[in-house]
Amino acid sequence: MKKVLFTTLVVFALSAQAEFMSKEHNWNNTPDQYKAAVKAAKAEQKLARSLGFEWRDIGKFLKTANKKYKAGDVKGALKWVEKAKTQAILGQRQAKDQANAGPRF
Amino acid sequence: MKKLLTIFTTAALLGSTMVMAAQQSSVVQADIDAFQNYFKKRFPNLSLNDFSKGPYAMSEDKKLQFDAIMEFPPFEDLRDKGEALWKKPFKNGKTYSSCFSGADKTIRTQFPRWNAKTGKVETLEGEILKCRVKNGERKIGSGKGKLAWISAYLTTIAKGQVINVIVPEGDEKALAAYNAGKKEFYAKRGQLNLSCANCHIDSPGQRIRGNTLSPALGQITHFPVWRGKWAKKKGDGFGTIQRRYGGCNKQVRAKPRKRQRDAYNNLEFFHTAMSNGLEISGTEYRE
Repeated sequence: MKKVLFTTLVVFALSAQAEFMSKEHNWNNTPDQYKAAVKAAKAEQKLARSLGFEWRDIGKFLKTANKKYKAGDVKGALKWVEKAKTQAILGQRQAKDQANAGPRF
Repeated sequence: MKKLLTIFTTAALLGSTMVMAAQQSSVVQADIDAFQNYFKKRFPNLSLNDFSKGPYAMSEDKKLQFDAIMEFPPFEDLRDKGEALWKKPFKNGKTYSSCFSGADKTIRTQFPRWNAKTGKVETLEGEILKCRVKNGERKIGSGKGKLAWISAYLTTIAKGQVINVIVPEGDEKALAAYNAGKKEFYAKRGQLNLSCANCHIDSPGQRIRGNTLSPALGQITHFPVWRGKWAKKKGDGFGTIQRRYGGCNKQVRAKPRKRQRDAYNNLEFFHTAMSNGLEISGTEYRE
């Protein structure tokens, strides 16, 4: 009986903890996820660069992300990495849009 | 027999002249005409050579300030250093002149030029850098400092020489390089989504914060320039045209290209060709 009671209590405690946890909590804010995100962002940056349309601040964003990561703020770091990746993708889109750029006179 | 000899000699002479003076591509000439006519229509009171004064040609007050500064140019000593460097022999006894052809005052207007052998555009600054390496000297920076001083000296002695960039007719590679430069000029880039043309074709004469935008026509005639802005920052104020391209790219929040590589060399090729017919005005002051 004691064992059943103890198990029930543990299960209840764990589920309550999960319930009260912020909805914004991302179970994936792990160092592994950060490293994967940086890799993906750098790949997009490289592609934008090869097209000649890399934006100026992508490198700065990745540096800021690295600082945050080293300070233990993985969530904050991921935000900067995402920003860098978005800019790299926008640069690639710009390259497509400007493929036929020329004079208008 | 004499007649035959005369015909052969004439034919040979004509042939060699054709090789010496490659004809401008008709596509490029059409571009130049359209480009220059646009500016002539937009600023009917300016002569072709007035455009080399950039924003100073568009405001009497600014022109007075410019003239006052140019009475005793703040860069004279550096330009003199450039002359000394140009004339100073390398360790092997040769000088920079040995890498170039023609009189010193004609060197500035020989560039940028198309090199059919390498299939690349050559720029004045690029050739100065190559000349140093070829003669066993150490590399120097590609945007300012000594390189800009030497180039400023060559620009100053070239005052009055006419720009005449040739994209040889029928040379597909040369035309491709020109078109790459043209695209670089007209394509919007960076987070601000602005092209060189947006500022220097669509909006010359208009203000951007405290500065007046210059017309693209004639921009090339006075580079390298000594800028007040550059003198405040790290450096001596001098900068090459490719340093300026990098600055423009940064301002629209685009990553600048590497200097003296294809992208900026092709841009310089196109940009200079658009000012064909204008005179070199010598190194000048800019804000």
